[in-house]
Amino acid sequence: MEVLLGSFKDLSLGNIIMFLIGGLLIYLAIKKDYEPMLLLPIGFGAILANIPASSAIGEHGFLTILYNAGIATELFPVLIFIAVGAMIDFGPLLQQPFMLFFGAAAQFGIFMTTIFAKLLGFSLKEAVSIGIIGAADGPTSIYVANLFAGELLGPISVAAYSYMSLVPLIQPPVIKALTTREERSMAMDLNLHKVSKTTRILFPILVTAVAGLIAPLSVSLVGSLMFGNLIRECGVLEKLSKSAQNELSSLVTLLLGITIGSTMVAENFLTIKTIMILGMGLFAFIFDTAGGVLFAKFLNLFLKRKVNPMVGAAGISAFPMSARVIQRLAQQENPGNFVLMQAVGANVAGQVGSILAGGVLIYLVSSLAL
Amino acid sequence: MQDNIATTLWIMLQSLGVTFIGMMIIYALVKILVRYFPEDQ
Repeated sequence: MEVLLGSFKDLSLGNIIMFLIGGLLIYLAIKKDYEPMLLLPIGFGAILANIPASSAIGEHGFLTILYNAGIATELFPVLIFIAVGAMIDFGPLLQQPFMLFFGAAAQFGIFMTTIFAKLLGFSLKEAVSIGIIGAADGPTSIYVANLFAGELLGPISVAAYSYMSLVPLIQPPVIKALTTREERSMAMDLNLHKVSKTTRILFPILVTAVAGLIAPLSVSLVGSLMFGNLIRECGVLEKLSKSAQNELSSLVTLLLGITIGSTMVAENFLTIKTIMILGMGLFAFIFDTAGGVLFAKFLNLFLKRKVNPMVGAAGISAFPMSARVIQRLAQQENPGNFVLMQAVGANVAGQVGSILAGGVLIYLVSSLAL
Repeated sequence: MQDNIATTLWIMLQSLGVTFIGMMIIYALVKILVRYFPEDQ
């Protein structure tokens, strides 16, 4: 009997709280459809890791083995990027390259959050890892956090994916606070031209070369994303492209989620730092949105053909949710308004912007002798 | 370098600047691609 009850005796209040948190993540995934592909495995991983003397973690635990093989080596995020690259159609961006600037402006949340985290007493590496939640890009957050602040990986990943799924709730109030009804109902010209296959093939190759030359440490991130996109666009690897979009994406997402969940052990997760990180994650998304909107308003001071400032907010990497939010808001103000294609262009630019910003930060921080 | 707010601010300014410059280069690249490869043969 004592053997049977052994684990119950070892159960701490922290473990029970982590079971509840794991359960909450599973509830949000199933009932609310908030990033279910990630929140459900993360939630279950958290439960597995918090069972006293769990065989899932520890030297021979399968989750620890997965962690060492896929997260510590940065392999999982890189594989996810190949899958994401194979899913992305850069067409709307190639038709409206101007949208690239919104993809840069909407990284403003990284900047503000990192400074805020530093002011709260985090080290520079920790602050950058927290700030990168503002990339609104899960794999980039995981990649950077693992490199600079592995002990914060659990809360940073949970914050990144939770707020990505909450974009439809976070962005509208920020946008409405910064724009007038007239600005939101502004129509934009849509002058889309056909993009040649040669352009679509050369784009991922040249972007990898340029980004790699600007920030060599971004090559893993940019290169894997663009490799996935090249498979998609080359036209001769349809089977591989489909595999990357479906099987590779599903399998790695599954393993990534449950492995991250396994890092959420009570004694590491239930700290004041976690609460601060969750708060700053929200802060990052708010400032990303504000950065994009304000940058668009700034550009409108000089542009003849004005941009609907809401499109700037779509420059965050949360694809395609952000673009859909902008279109919905535009139609709320003016039912005939259609800015979806422009918003998708900015949203795809956000994908490029987030990994470029992540790569640049890795390069800059790694070059410091701290 | 010391791990302080001034270093953080400097790093963030550089990263924002380099990200914008990177995007400008990619913008120019797309413009060139679209101009010289407008249609498939």
